[in-house]
Amino acid sequence: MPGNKGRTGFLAVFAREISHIRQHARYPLAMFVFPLLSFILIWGLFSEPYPHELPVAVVDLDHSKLSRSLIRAVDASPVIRIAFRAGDPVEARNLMLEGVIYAWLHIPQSMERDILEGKGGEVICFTNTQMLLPGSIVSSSLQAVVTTISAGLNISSRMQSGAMQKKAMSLLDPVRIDRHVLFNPQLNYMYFLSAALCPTFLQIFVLMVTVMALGSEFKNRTAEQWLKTAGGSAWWAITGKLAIYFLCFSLMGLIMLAVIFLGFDVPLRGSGAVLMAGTLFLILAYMAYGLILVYLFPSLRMALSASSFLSGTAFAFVGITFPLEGMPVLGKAWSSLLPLTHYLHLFQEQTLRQAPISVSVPDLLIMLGFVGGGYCLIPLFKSHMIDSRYWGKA
Amino acid sequence: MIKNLFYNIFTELNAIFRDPGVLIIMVGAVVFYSFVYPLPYSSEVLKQVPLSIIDHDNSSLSRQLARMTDASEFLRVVSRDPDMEQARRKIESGKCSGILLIPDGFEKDVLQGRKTHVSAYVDATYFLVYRQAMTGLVMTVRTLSAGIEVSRFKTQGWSHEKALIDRSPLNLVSRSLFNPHMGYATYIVPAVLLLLLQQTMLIGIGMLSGTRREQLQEKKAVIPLQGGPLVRILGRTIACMALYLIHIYFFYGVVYQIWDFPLRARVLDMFVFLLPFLLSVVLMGQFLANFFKSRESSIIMIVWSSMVAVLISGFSWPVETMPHWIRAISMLLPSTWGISGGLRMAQMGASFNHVMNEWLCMWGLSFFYLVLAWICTRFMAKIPEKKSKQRQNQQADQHQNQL
Repeated sequence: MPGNKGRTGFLAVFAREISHIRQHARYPLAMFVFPLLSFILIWGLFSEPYPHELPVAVVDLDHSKLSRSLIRAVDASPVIRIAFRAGDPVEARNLMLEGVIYAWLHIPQSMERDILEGKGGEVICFTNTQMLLPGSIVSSSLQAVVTTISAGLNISSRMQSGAMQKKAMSLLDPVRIDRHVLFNPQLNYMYFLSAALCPTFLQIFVLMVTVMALGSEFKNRTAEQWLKTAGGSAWWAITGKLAIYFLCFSLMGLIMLAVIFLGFDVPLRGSGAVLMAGTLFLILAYMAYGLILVYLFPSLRMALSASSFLSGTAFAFVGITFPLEGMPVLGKAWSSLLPLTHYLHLFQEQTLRQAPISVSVPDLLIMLGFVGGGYCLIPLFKSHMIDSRYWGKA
Repeated sequence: MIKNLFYNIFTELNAIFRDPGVLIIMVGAVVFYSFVYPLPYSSEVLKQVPLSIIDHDNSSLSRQLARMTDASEFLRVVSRDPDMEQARRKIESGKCSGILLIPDGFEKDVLQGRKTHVSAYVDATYFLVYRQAMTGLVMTVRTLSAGIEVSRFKTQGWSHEKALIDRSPLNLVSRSLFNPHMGYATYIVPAVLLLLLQQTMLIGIGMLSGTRREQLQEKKAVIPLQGGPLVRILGRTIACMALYLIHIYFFYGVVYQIWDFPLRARVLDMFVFLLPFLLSVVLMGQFLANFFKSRESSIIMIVWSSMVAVLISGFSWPVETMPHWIRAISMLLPSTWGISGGLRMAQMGASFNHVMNEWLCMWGLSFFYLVLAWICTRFMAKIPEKKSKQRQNQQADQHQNQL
C-alpha cells in the first residue's frame, strides 16, 4: 500500500484490511450477500407457518354413507388433502413408498353397520413416521376429525337407554387432566425455529470470515508485515484487522433482529437491549473462536475445516431440534462450548419466556468468557506472527 | 482417447491421495462426521422429562398418582413443591419442564363418585419436551382414571365396554410405519449422511481445482491432464466416484450397523440408486469449481449451502408448504432427489420402481451439469491464466510507481 507507508497502528491496519477486502470478492459475498440470501430463504421457507394440504390416501372398504361423510370431513380439513383413493392397503402402501402421501386412512368393511348395531367401529391411520413432522401433523388432524364425527353420531342404542344411560356416562372419566401450556400458548414452533436459524447462519459467516482473514496472513506469509503495520503491537494488529468485520457483522446482526421481530412477528416480551448486547457478544465470541482456531491450526485449510465443523454442525447441538436434556454427556459438553447455545438460550428467555434481565446475565457472561479466552491468547498468537515456521502453510 | 482417460483417472487419484487437505475432507471428514453427527440424537427419543409435583391433597390416591407419574417412561419427578410460585421458579431456572398439580379434596371426590381433575403445566418452549411431557402426563392420568372407571362399573354391575362405545362410537387407531418409535436419529441421520457425501465431494473438488489453479499461477510443476475437456471431466468424475462408492458401502455396511439404524434395502440396490447421485454431484462440483479462485474459497460457500440443502430438501419441512421458487432451487440440488429416494429405499424398503422418478431426475441433473461443466472447462479454463498475467503486469507497474 503505497499511500499508507510509514503510518502504523490501528488505523493503518484498518486501511490495510479494507484494501485486502477490496481485492477479494469472497469477503463481501460472505459478509453481505450470503447472510442476506439466508434470511430471505428462511423468510420464504416459513412464509406458510403451518403445513397445509398434505397429501393423504383413503382406502374405503365400507362404501357407506358414514364412510363417505368421513372422507368429506377429512378432505375439508385445511391440513389434509385427499390426493388418492386406493382400492386396497397394498396400493396405499405403494403410494407411500413412492413418496406421494404421508399417511393413509383405512376404513374397514362394515364400519357403519358395526356402529349402528352398537358394537363400535374403528378406522386406522397408517402414518409414515420416517417423515416426522408431516407424519405427526397429519395424524393429529385425523384424530381431531374422527373425534368430531364420532361426537355427532346419533346411534340408536344411545337414544333408547334414557336415565340409566345418563348415570353411566357420569361414571366415565372420573379424573380429567387440564392442560396448561406455558410460554408458548399457540404452540407455534415455526416462528421460533425460523428465528433460531438466522443466528445459526450468521455464526457460520462470522467464524469462517474471521478465520479466512486471519489465516490468509499466515498462508500468504504476510503476518510479519501485518504486525509491522500495527507498529509491533499484536493487540492493534488484531483489533485493527477485525474491526471492519465486527462493524459489518454488527450491522448484519441488527438486520437479523429486524427480520426476526418485524418479518417473522416473533414476540419480543423481554428486553431488546439485552438481545442486542447478546447479538454483539455472539459475534465477538465467534471472532475469538476464529482467533483460537487460527492459532491452533496454522494451516489455513485445516483451520477452515475445523471452523466448518464447529459452525456447520452447531444447529444439531444447540438443543433446538432435539433438547439438551436428551443428549449424552459428550453432546452436552460440546453444546456448552458453542456460543450459539448460550445465545439461543438468551434469545428464548427474552422472547418467549418474558424472563427478567437478571436471568439472562449468565448467558451474557459466558459469551463474554469466550471473548476473554480469545483476548488471553493474543500474546501467544503474536509468537506465531513472528515465527516463519507458521507461514506459508496452505 | 481411452488411454488419455485412464491417464487422467490415475492423475486425479494421485492428486487426491497426495494432498492431505483433500484427503481430510474427502475421507477424514466423511468418517468423522458419520460418528459425530448422530451423537446428540443417540438416545433417539426423549425420555424422563423432569417434572415437579404439587400435591395439595396428600392422600393415598394422590401419592399413587405421583408414583405412577414417576414410573412413566417419559417422566421423572425431580421435586415436590408446596405451591405454584416455587414450582414456576424451578421451570424458569430450567430445573424442570412441567408441573403436575393435584388439588385438595382429590381423593374425596373420587371416593364419592364425583368427577375431579388435576392440572398439567408444561413448558412449550421446546416442541419435543412439550410433546413428551404432555403425552406422559395424559397417559398416566388416563390409566389412573380408567382403573377407577372399571371398578365403578363393576360395583354398579353395568357393562363398561358398552358405555365406552356409547360415548365414542367411532375411534381412530394410529399405526406408525417405518420409524415406529419416532426415533430422532433414525429420522435425521440417514438424510444427513447423504448430504455429507454431496458436500464433502463439492469441497474436495473445489480444492482439487483450486490447487491446480494456484500451482499454475505460481508456475509450480503440475502433472498436466491430457485430452479434450470431455476426457478431462470424465477422468476426474471416475476417480471421485470410485472413492465415494467405498463411502456408500461404509455408510450402509458399517455406520448403519454401529448406530443400529434399520436398513431395509440391499447394499447393492443402494449402489445402483446412488450412482447417478454421485455422478450428478461430481459434475456439479466440476461446474462450480470454475468459480472458486483459491483452494479455500469453496469451503464457506459449501458449509453455508449444506444448511440450505437440509432445509429445502423436503425431509425437514414438507415440499407442499414451500413456495415455488424455493422448490425450483431445491430441484437443482442432487441431495433433494438422493435424500428423498435414498431414505425411502434404505429406511422404508421401497423397491426400485418406487424411486424411479428420483433416479431419472438424477440422471437428468447429471446430464445438465455435464453440459455446464463442459462449457465452463472449454471456455473459462484460460481465464485465470490471463488474469494472473494481468496481475503480474499491474504489480510491475506499481513497483515502478513506487520507485
